[in-house]
Amino acid sequence: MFKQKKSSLWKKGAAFCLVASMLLVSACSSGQGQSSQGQSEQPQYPTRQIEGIVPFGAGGGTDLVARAIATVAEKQLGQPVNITNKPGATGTVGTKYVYDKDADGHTLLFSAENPTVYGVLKLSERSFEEFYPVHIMGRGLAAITVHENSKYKTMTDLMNDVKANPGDIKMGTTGPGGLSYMVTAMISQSENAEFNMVPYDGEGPIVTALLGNHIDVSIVSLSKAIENAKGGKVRVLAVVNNEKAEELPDVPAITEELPDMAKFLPWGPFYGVWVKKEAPDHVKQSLEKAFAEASKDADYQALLKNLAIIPMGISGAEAEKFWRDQQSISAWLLQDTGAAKVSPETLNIPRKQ
Amino acid sequence: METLSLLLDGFSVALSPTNIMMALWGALIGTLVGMLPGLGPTSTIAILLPVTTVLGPTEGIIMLAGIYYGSMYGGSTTAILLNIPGEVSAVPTSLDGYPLAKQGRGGPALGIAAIGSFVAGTMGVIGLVFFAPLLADQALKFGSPEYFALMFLALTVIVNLAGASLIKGLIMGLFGYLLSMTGIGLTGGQVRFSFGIEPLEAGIDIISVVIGLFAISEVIKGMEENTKSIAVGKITNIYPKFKEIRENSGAMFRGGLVGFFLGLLPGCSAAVTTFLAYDLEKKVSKNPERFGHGEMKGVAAPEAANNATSSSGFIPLLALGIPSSTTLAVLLAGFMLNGLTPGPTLFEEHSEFVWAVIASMFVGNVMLLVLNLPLIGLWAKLTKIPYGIMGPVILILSFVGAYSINNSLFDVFVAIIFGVIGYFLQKYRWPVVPLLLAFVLGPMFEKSFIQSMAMSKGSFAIFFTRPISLTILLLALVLFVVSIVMMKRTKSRVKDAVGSDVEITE
Amino acid sequence: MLADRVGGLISIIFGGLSLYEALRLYPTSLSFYVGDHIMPGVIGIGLIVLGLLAVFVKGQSFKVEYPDRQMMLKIGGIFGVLLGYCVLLYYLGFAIATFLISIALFRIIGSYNYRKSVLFSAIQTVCVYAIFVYWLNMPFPGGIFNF
Repeated sequence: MFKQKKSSLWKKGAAFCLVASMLLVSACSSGQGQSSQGQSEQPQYPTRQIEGIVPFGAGGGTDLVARAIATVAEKQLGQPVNITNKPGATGTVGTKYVYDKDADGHTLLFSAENPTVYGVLKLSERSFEEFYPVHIMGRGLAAITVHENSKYKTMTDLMNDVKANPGDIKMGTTGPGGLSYMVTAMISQSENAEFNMVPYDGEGPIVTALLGNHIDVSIVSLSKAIENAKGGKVRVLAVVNNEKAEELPDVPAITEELPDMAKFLPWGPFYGVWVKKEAPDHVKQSLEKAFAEASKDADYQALLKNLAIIPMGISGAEAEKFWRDQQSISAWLLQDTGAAKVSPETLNIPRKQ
Repeated sequence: METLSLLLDGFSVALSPTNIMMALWGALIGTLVGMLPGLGPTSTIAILLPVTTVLGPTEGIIMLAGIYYGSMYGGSTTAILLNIPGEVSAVPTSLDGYPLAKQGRGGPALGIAAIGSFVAGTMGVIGLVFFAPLLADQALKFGSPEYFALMFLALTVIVNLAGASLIKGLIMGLFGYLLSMTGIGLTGGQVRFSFGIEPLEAGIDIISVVIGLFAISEVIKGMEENTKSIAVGKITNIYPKFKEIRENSGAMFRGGLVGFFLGLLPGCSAAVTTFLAYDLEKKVSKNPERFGHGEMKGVAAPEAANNATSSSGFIPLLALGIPSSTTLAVLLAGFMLNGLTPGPTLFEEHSEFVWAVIASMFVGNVMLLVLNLPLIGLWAKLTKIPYGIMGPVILILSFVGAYSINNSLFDVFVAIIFGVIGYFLQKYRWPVVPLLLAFVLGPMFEKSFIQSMAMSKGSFAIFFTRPISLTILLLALVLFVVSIVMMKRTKSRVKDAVGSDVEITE
Repeated sequence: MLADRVGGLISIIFGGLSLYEALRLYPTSLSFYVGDHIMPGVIGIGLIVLGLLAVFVKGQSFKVEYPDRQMMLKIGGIFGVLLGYCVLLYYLGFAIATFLISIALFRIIGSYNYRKSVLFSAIQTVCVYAIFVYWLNMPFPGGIFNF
């Protein structure tokens, strides 16, 4: 406690440190003997700046949301929240980094949904099981997207063509566990359809390929597609949700055309703030309170709307249930398509009914 | 004309005192971080993102854009003077810039770099003003097969950079590809070449390779040769002569064109365009044997390409919302945080903002020139500092630079290892530049190949049946033959001149 | 020349390694050309072929000169000091480690006496600290003194 306080002074520079130590010496030598009573009454948090780790690249969806809420939350917490990107290996690098830090709440994880499938894909042993959900900011929707001049006007057009020419329709996907891979798996499973999977390394390149009409269809997060959809460069055939998206009132929910998809929904990307689960209760409470308060900020809410993210603002047990449900859908889907390397059963992930 | 009046409106916003200050700040910060190795514009813009929400959108984005193109210029300073390319895109600049600095002509080289950056940057912005939507649509015609052909074309550059032995150059190239594949596979998500070593799963970062092969092994080399200071002899003049500027105007223009048009393609970063511009300049030069030994055109062309690429990268960003590099991706985040989403609707819904930013890029390019020309004298003096002081400073900066990539000691470790490897490679004349180029091209080469093969279901015909792809492949073939012929000719010419076989490119 | 032949052999070894990875990854692929295995395969074959060429083709010959023993020790020393920096940074934190390592580097590269080396290192440490830690807020390890 005391050491940390001193260290923050040190950071301010040598002059401060000198003054501080002189004061300390004079205090001791004057013999007043101000013992350290009362220091442990009210545990203080945060005592220094908080490091916020985004395990993905700067400028991505997670990064944006994290930075937006961190700027507001730091006012609530009274200490700066410095966002650092530690990208690499589907987010496992940054997640492990936070796991390796002390559970004192001074290192937070700002992550998307990816860790839910670390176990089944055998990517990392450190996933959400090790963390406590401070605040789940919101969830995004997947959008089934085609080029503006595509011959597919509706989901039905697309499905008819896929069934007539199995394996011919070029579907842009990101690797196993990625959004388009998962939704394609859902469609293939419920509709018995087969696509020609063209692998890309991110949603950005997929949108570019869609705009250039190099692939027939893809599934990207609505945030990525919405601006080009509004500008008429791409057409969204359906949003992968059981309700329509507020931002695109003319686009049907996928369950309207493919009712069998309902069993997988709601499902999609989500963004949250996490702290190590061993963190003391008062730290968790302070964080929950600060982020809940921060989420009311108008600029932040505007950003969520801009990114077509549905605000959630849940934490604790409610958030725990939410991500475990999402994990169950994803994990069993991967198991059923044969992409899982470890069965969800061995990881104690129940199949959601 | 409507565009012109919109641009003038933009200028009226951009020329307000606050916005001029913002452009100046951005250019200044950008130049500084560009000079520090490892720490590039990407992380700086990311750090400063929250600031923009305080400043207001126009002011904030003007500053961030300033950082972006300022850093493009700043990177050339350390590349020329100290042989530390802060970014891969500055590697071609260092090939001739550093020999120039050693000859005491670091000042003129910096001047030419500044002027080249200004000329090409302005060319880029003019292109942005008049052709943005049109060019953006053209760029989209490049699908995976076209990118594959383009990467094939870029590969012919390796032949030109290989130096005396083609076999050695190609091996180094392949080795670069191999290194770039470390980590998670691009298309299948499989971990490759990690051999159970955990940090390797995140891949090797090219910046640490560059720092190791260039900065660290350069210090060792300098020590071994008992260098007193970087520039031997007297610094003759600080500024480039008018004659030099005129001689290099062609190189600036060509470099600018290469940088601008290739920079339109998403994913074709400045690291690729600068190499191609350098290579083109060497091919059209009457004295290709001078390249690598301090040829001013070898500085002018890649620097121009660098800045033209950074300007033209704004075209797909503003018109389609597609960032062509990681730095632009972070800048995109800056737009989003301010409630502006780049894309087809941006020009209509927020035209005032867009044109203010574009106008500020003119202002910022002028700022860069005004800011940097007077500083050149100061920078050039750096080369006269005793090597005993410069060496440790370079090493500490390299260390910190490598650390700052991911804030991890692993990248530092990689840099040190490559410092050792670089030392021996130099001794046995294995060229390192093909390794870097292949490292940069590797991921794009692999992605475009696999995507094309998935599209065509395994038929190679896809590369020859699409007109753009076929044209580029034929061009690559022609360039390949030209390179081989030129290499033979240059070798014999050098032999005539010197009387023995000498290394052409190190 | 012998060194080039050794280089060729190293190239063949790396090529073999690459091919091994390609074979290991093949089962995960979507088809023969589509998957993470294809490029390791191509590069592996390329490295082996070029490596064989390097072994058998008579290349250009040149003399490789190494500096004297004392200089080699210095060069080895620099790499040692840099590796030591990694360790010190972790235990002593950025400021102290940079200060100590700088002294060693100024001694080795510049051959300055201790007084000058300490002076230069102090200046360098303050500058680097001001830029990277104070201004740019880079998160370096604090070390045991948390400084």
